[in-house]
Amino acid sequence: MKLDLIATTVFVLLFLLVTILGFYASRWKAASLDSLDEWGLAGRRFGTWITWFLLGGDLYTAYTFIAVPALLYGAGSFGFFGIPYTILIYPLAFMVLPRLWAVSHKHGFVTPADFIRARYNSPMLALAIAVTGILATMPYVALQLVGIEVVIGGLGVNTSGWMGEIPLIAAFVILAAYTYTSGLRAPAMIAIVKDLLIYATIITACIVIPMHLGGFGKIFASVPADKLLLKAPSDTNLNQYSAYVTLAVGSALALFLYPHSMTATLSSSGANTLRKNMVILPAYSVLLGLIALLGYMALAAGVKNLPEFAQGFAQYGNNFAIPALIIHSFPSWFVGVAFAAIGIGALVPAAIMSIAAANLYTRNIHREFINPTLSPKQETSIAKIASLLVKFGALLFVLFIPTQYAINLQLLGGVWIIQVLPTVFIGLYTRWLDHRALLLGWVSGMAAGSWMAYSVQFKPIYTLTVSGFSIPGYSALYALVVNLVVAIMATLILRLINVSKSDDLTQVSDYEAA
Amino acid sequence: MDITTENKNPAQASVKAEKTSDKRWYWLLLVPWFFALWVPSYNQIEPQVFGFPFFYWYQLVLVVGTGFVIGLVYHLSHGRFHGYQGDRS
Repeated sequence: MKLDLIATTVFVLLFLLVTILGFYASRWKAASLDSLDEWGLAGRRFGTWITWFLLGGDLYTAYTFIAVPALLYGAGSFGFFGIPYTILIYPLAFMVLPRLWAVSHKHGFVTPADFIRARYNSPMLALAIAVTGILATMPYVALQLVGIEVVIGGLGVNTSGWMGEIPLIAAFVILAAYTYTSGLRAPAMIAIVKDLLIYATIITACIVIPMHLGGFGKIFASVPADKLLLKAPSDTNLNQYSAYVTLAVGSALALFLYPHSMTATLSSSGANTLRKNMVILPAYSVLLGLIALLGYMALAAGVKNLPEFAQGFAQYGNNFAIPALIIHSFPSWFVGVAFAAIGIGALVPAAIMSIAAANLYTRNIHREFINPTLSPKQETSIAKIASLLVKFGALLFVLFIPTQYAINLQLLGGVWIIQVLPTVFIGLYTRWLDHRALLLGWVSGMAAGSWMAYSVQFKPIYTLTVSGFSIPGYSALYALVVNLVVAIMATLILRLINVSKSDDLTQVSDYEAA
Repeated sequence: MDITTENKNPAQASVKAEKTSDKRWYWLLLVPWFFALWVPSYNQIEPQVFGFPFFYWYQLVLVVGTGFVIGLVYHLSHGRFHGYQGDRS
């Protein structure tokens, strides 16, 4: 593939624009950035619309834009599970997040592990929550860089050799620099540009491409008949029904447990800001549905058989379907806009993820176990350095380790992060579960989930067979059940033998502030 | 469900509930879950709309419906409608 000069110029100009914004953001809603509350949570001042852009930029990442349509392209209707998944998230988040915000605001918690530390008065349980968060986030940051790599490849830059990695390294250095200086303000400001570009790109694509291809009827007709609907249950197997439902439920339960979702949540200005956001965030899900259908449009356009895309598919697999569709359907300048939207769509979540992981390290590992007497200023400089290390680790990962490992680890990350649900979400409502029992449940869930994922070669679906009846389901959800059963049984045993509860440093009324 | 708002004195409890919010409406949040999880109800081609098989357009409509349900719950429990009730009492 030859380098597309016009597309590359547009791409680079838009990247420059967000770079300037990223550095300028440090002056936005000005405050001294020497406290973790300001650097890592932007002073908890974001109103409804900024929170909407920030959460949208955070949850719907570049990898989503590439991988979800690629899944429909390869696997058909099953890949549409992202839609019921996003239907389930917001009613749940509407209930849970305002409580987390209220208690965190009252006590100055910066991370979910801060909350657990106070709720159960247990540094070890908080450490487990922090480590799980960091482990689940690292491969996620790496995948964002993979997203950038695919679009840089789509521009015609040869990304296979050493020299080919230079654009990726440049994007990474820019990202690291403005996150370091501006903290959470940078991705919040860039998220606005990113969303405008994404909305413009997707709406245009969903009008223009079906016109080229002869309408949505023709597009759906190009999908193989057995992939157009889910495989219905038989007498001995629930088939894709249970897989679809458990994947949607498990992903929905996990989403707001990720540290980067928590960071965006806590940076909002109030519980009602969050509630209003749960009303308007489904707008992104409609967009996601349209993006998913781009996968079918790529099938209908037959991009895989076009000689100019052979190299791209060979290098990136089905993840190249959407870049190929865009190049095939649009003039160069629009390709530049669309690819910039995806590339910038990687920068926003990567910045928030690295800030979230840095907050966890600083608060729940460094201050807890290494130096308890940190001043706010020292705390912030440690977090800044930690955020650099997280991104540098992700970059090394992408440069030196096969992409498939990052994808496998990101899948494991989902299996792991859901194991903090009994501690964090149930902990927001009741202190009944014992902190030692929760730790035991966490260990069991992590072990069971990792084993299930390993035994099916890191595919999300594990098939449970009960007396000859097969129930394929998301391993994260199965492992969560193991976790909950162990935590409940162990709590009952501890109560029976009269082991005393740890203290709760929060009050009932802390969870209800408006 | 929400055990932390429980209060031993019923009179005190009702005063508190009116001051903060009316969480009974939260049960409505189960409605989107019910429709999204009942896969057999939508795993079909017909009726099609604008060439979209039912499976696809129905779930997109559900997304929009979810936004409306959450908006309704917000207004009933925390927002405007709830506020008017508070003024009268």
